[in-house]
Amino acid sequence: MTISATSIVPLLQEFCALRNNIRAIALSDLQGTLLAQVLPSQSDMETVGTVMSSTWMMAQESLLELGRKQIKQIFIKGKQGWIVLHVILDQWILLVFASHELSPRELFAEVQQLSNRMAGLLRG
Amino acid sequence: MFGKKKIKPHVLLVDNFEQVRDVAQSVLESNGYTVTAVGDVGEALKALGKKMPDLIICEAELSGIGGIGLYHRLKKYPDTARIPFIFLTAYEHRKVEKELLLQDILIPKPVKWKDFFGQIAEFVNRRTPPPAALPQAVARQQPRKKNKQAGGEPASAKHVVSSMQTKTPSSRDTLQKTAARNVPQRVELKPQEEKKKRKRRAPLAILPEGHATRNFADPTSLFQLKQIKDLFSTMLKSFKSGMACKNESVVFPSSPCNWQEIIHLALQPRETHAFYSRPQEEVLLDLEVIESMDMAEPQETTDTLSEDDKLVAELMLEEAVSSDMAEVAVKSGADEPFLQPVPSAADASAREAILPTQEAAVAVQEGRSEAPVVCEEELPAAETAQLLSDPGLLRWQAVCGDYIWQSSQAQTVWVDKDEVLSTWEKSLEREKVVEMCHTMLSMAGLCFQAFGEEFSVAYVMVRSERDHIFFTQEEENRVYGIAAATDSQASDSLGGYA
Repeated sequence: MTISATSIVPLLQEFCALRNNIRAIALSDLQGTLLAQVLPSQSDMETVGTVMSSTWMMAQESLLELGRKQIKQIFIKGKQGWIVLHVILDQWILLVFASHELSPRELFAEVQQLSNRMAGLLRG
Repeated sequence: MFGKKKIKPHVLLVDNFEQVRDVAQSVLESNGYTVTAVGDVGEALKALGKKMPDLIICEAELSGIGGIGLYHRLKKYPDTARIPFIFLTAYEHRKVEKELLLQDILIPKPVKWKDFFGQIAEFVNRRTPPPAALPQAVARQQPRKKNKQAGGEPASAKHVVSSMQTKTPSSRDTLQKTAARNVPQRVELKPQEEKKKRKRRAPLAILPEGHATRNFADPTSLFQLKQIKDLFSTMLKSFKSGMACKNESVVFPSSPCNWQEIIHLALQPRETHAFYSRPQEEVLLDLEVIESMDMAEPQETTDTLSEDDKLVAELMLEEAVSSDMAEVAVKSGADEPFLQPVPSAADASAREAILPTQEAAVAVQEGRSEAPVVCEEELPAAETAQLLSDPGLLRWQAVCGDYIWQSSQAQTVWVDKDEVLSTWEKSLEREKVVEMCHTMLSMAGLCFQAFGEEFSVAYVMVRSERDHIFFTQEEENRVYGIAAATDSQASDSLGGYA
């Protein structure tokens, strides 16, 4: 599937621009290749892609061990904020790193909305 | 006049990154090399056609046939095969090293530029001279004053230069090759101190507790993609094989460091295993049974229990008494009790005797905390009380919320005490619990580190098609927990996100 990053990057940029609490956002495939991203200057694209796919893979392994089949979302609470990894169309992983000022409820709602819009673009 | 002019070794530098080319070129030129820097294989071949270099430094990941293809092509022909070759690359080292002939080397990226020239000099020095160069090599072993001739030039340089003056241009290539063989001698002129400096290791720094995981230890400044990928795959293999080792701190050298050393440290087997071979069933505390009785306050319990539950409760208590098990008192959280009191255990004096702390006993007496609980289980009472009253567990409870404990599945492991609490549907091995928690939390920590944040995670929640799985740990007390929660439970725990 050929995906045009040019249509997705503006969407991510707009998402970040409208919300002060979003610190990073990235879309990668399941192998960790970033398609589009808005990252802090100190972040390395390859590293971000690798941790995204690796985290997803590890979570998948763990859930299989626990008798579950499929991951829909990973939610991480850290000292500096939340990280949400959300699968889109079973092929893409969306990562959103938000600070603690954003409540989980707001964050999940935002991520869900964004993933729906991205799914539309990725399908198209 | 010509004889007094120094011959600068010529280096062909092939790298597709302009910045790397620029820095490497300036380092080499400042150390007396002439550098031809090119960006791809085609340009490199053109440069080779114009002038044979004394040394080739090449990136492995290049367009077209790539650095490795170029390397193989050069090694096919005797004229180019003799040129010392260095791969300067971040490409998978094992793959590159497989391709390398013995005499050539790989310098991994990122490069420490201050050591870069030292590494090249050492390589060139180490390189075995071909038989044709042996006379020069023997000459080099002579005392220095004997090598000195007119113009203070080393014997080999002099030899090369004088040959250039007398021989025809057609033999120039051969002479340049001879010069290439003589590179070591010129490089050797660099002060020895530089080499010594490079060999000096950075002091080892033990990272603070809580920053070390089985495979990673605060690698904020040490990220290198290829190594991390290797570590991930190793970790995954270990995970799949079901091997769980004690999560000991890994001692990483502080930056600057050698990545191979880090990999060695990270992958070396841990000394001790976390758990004994004691079957899980022996220490199983089935909270679900107790919870399913739906027990509330002592005086109300007999009314709310069904006949079956009453029977189960009586049997449990009888068994506890007959096996002379001590009653277990549990100090639960002030707001979120996860074990409900059993009525017939309301023996204040006995409870006080086995409460884990005096403060807890006072809290119970004053009504600030929940009444202690009798649990049917086979653990020594003191240990269980300690386990259940552990701050780690309380934190775990606070993280996941009482809903999970009361009506869902959970499994918690105390690493150092060989304890397990479980209401899980299937018997999970304790090693698996620790391994899974550890893996998930490590990966989550790395996610934050990828954004330059602290390697610190409170918990990870993974949403599956059925429910939500929480992974958490209390690092200080070494308690690991996995819990499953329904959508509504997880939503409640996370402030109604769903």
